Amino acid sequence: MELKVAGLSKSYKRRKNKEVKAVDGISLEIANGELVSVNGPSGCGKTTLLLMAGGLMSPDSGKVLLGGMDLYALPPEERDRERALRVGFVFQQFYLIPYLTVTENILIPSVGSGTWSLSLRERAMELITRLNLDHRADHKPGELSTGERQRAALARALINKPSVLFADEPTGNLDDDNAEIVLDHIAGYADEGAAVLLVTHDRRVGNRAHRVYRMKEGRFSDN
Amino acid sequence: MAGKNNRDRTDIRTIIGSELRHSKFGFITGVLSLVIATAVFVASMILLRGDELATERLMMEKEKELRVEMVQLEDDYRIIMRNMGYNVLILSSEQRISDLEREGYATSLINYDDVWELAESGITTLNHLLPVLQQKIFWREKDTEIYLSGIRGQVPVYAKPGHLTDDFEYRSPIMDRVPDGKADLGEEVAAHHNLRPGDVVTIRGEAFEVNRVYPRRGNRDDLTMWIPLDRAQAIFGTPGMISGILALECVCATGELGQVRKEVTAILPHTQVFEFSSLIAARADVRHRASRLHEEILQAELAHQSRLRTEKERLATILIAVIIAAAAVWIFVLIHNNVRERRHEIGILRAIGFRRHQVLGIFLGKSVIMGVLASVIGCMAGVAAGLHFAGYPAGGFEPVNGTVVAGGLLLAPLLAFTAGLLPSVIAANQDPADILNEQ
Repeated sequence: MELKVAGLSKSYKRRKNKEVKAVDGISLEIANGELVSVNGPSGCGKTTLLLMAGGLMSPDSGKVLLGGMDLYALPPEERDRERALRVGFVFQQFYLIPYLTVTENILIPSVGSGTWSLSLRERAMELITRLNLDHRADHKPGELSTGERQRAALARALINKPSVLFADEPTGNLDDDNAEIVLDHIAGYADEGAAVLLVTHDRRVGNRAHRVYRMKEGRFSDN
Repeated sequence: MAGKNNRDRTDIRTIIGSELRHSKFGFITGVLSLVIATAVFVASMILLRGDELATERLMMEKEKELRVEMVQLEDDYRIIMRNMGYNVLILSSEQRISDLEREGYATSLINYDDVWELAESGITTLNHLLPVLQQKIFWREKDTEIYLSGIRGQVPVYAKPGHLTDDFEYRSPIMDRVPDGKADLGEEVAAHHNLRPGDVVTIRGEAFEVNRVYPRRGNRDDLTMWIPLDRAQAIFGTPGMISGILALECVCATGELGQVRKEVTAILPHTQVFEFSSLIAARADVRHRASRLHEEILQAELAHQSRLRTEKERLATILIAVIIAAAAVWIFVLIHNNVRERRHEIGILRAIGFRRHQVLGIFLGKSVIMGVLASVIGCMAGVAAGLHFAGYPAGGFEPVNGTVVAGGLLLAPLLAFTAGLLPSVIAANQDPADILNEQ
């Protein structure tokens, strides 16, 4: 299993010290080449699950094994490095860096991981072509359409060929056509052998996912 | 191709450079605030240094002027002393003071050889010996009374070879001898009888050509005619005799006069010595007072300049501190706002694997670039402004020293680094999960 999540729990303290369980003992396994979708209403804990599984948020309890490696047993700096090399993220808000060009945005993970190379630049060009962004390669995010921005964000997530791709509502801001394109590419990346965890309430994911989990109040209600 | 690709490399510098170009307003105002801080610092230092140099020059000029004035003052006193009379008057021991007062000249004579005995005795306390024979006479030819003085100039004091030429003449005589057949006249004698140099006068049947007429001195000299000593001895019928010896004791201290009297009477026991100690003491006292006064003027000027400098330094310190504090606050606010505005950017960078020190580097790098750029511009502006306001002409870099320039070059980067550190650390410690969970 490329990604294994076991008994993950996370609570937040809200007003008056009231504790809210965002994720409550969730376990999940995703093999290479598998696309798993988790859907559910807003506030059910989907994003918290994704952030914990992606190594960005320490769980209160439970484990995350990435390629067999216990992510939260690693020192923070080492975990950052593993994340840079093995994990890709796509978010609803794109989070492109506004003053960098599309190409630079796509290559930015190589700065964090220190993996810049000519072949990486060639891969960036390949992704730009594949995602139909050739005419936008030297444009800044402010000059792009919403669909183009998400495609650029997807290219950025894929630049290091991560073994696991996490996508949090990647189609939330897109029209139908662009949503289809993005979902096709995400599914296509799973077909290339990666493990993909897709958190969404977009029903269009439907038949593209190998498994679909429904989440409610921090737990999987069924699948 | 590879070169081009390397130039296209995306790294921390790309991020910093692109962001600086993207947020021009913040960048320009940040640099500007640091430029002002650096320029004020450098210009103030140059102004203070320029002021210090100007004070040093002023004090040196004042000291030089005072030194010249002191030399002039001493010279004036030497001339005044010579014109006023002599320090020591050696007369016959038989001379009664009452007769001297009544007649106005010595009535008891001593031998002319006495002056030579004194000169050859090896005495060192007397510098100049002037034998004189003087009487008040009725000038029959002009029907008037005058003082007639016979002089021969200075008798060389052999114990003072430094004053003498190889021919035993004084290098700088304090009284010229009267040439043979000639006479020098006091101002009133000449004026009363309408005499000028070149006129011939007859006294007791002997003719003398007027050699020179002295300007008015306001004393008995104005009523005196000076002729060669031997002619006076002939006219008075006292060959080989003189009234006394005028000894100018030069610059000796007051305390040595008793010693002078002792030495002179030991060599010439039949003489008595009249002292003019009050004149010497007065001269020394005035000279010391003048010296003290000049020293006081110098010290007062120094103290005044020092007070001014302290005041200027205090003002400069306050000004520099305020400007630096304002620049630091501005940089802090700029970077802090920048961190807030770039919160999502920090979140995604951390999510895709940027480590804390890399995020810190992005924000601190921006601060330091602003600082380095501002240091160069600020230094140049500060040097130009400092030299301009210090009144230095083009090309005059005297008050600009390496320490000030180095300080100016270091100030802005250090200031930017310090002011930008806290917000940068805040940025580096942002929790990406918190940021990304906000959506």
